[in-house]
Amino acid sequence: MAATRGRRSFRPRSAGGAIHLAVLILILWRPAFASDGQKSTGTTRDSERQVELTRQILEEEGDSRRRTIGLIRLRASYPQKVSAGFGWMRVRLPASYDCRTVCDLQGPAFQIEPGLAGVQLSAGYAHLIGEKRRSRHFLKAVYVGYGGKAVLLRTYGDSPLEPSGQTLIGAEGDLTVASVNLSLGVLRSLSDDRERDWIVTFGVGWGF
Amino acid sequence: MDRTATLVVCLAVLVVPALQAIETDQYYSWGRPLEDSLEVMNAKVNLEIDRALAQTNQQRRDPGMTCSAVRKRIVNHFRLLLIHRLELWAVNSALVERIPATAEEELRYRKVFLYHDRHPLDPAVLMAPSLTIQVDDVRFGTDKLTHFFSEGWMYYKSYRKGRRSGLSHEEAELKAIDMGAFTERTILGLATSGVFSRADLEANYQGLRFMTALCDPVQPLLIRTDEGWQLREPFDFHDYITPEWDESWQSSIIGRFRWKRIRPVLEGYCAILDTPEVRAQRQRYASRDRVTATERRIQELVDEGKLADPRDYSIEQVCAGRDRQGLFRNDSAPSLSIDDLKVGNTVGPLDFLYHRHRPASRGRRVSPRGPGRLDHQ
Repeated sequence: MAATRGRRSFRPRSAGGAIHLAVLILILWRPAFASDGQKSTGTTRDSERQVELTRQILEEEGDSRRRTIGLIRLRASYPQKVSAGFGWMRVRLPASYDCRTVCDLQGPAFQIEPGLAGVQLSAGYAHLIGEKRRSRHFLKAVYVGYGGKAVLLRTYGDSPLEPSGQTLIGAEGDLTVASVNLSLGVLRSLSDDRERDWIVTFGVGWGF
Repeated sequence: MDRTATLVVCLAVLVVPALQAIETDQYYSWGRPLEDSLEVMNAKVNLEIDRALAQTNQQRRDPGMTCSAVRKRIVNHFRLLLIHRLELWAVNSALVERIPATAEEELRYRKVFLYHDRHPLDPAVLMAPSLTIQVDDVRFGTDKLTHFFSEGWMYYKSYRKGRRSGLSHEEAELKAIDMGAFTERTILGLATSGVFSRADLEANYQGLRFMTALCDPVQPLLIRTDEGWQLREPFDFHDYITPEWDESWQSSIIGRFRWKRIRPVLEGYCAILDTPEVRAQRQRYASRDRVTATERRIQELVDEGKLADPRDYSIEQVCAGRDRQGLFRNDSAPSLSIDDLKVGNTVGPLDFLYHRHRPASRGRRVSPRGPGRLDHQ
């Protein structure tokens, strides 16, 4: 680690971050590195170097900030038929992570998804591993991810429901593997003239 | 609903192999300087183990808690979705130097790396290739970090099952290696992505060594003190990483159809195989190389005719008998010097082969001769 080419120095940007950092340093100092079980090849200097590197790792982690990441989904589903979803999620990441390549993203997610036979609003929580590639705002690939969300759906046009125009509310789960998205939900109709109280929604598509 | 359920099952069958179809290319890193990350990787692993132990000691003051239970907590601490926590950190942290070095270069790398020429239905096309890092003077794909902790744990479970059924230590290890080799030959390797990665199996095996060392009956790495569970000594990748993790040293076995696409790319590296930097690296590897348990088992499978001979896919075999420097001149393509590969220079051996000169050079350079044994599929 002699050279430091292309590296940045990190400083916590908030009091909360500094406290977090201090707690982690205290955790760090507890057991393993202070043990007397130095390896035969190890020296005190090695140990000090490890502590310094750990401090740098903690600094990098502590210098995190909230960001908004865009989500896109195209899917064929029941009862919306074909739909396109646009949304965003709020995540906390170290400042140096640009997520143009693989990133771990966890946080609240919101989405609006208009389709041929309905429009859906949803809010929930998602955990994804994906990347933005050359996009500034949107995830272009989701390698794996899951999420759960509360859903409000308004159907219209030639929706397969009877009557076609209904308002439904419920929950939906999403799973994406290698950008293939699967969704499954249970919604309750709020319309007075509904044929069924509950419907199961499902879909297959791309994105999250 | 029935149709939808069928569709869901079909999609799951299609995409699940993609989860493990992550590929890597250490040839791409040849001649490019790369800082060794042994110390910072050790620091990160020790930090995460310490966090796992701190949580364990805080939450569970149960004096009857076994070493095995603590080990499981450490494994779970590293686990994330698909890619392990350590790998994600290694590909994002500014403290670890990687090849490709930047996001922009990484996106270009995906178009030229060893396995870039893929069938559209190849499940690996859905996943990003792993980057190369150097730890303890060995270059390897960051996917090996996930293999070490994730597949190492799978190996350990197989090993433990074997031991409980009365197998000796060696027999139980062999059982675990066989499990890994089977998955590489089938759903997670040859049958899906067309690549049997011997380096992956080496990382798995070293992961098994770590898992067993944590609770070794004679000298366990995990010890219980008055303050709770601790590591007897800091984790050190030096104890586990071998040259066999480098896929340019430990060549993978490639399926017949995949080989047709990979061989021409590999031939592009003949031009720099004899450069001082690459030769020195391979000499260092040779001095550390030992016959591993995995290699012995693979050789048995080769002898039984169940696997192709990995030597047929080595760079030495591909370049054997060739005028290495003249290879490109004959194809009217520019020769490369090692200086072309320095960091910051975007020209790589594959850049010109697959972009500027692709139509002209490709047809002439593909050898009609395949490797000696390609009848494994």
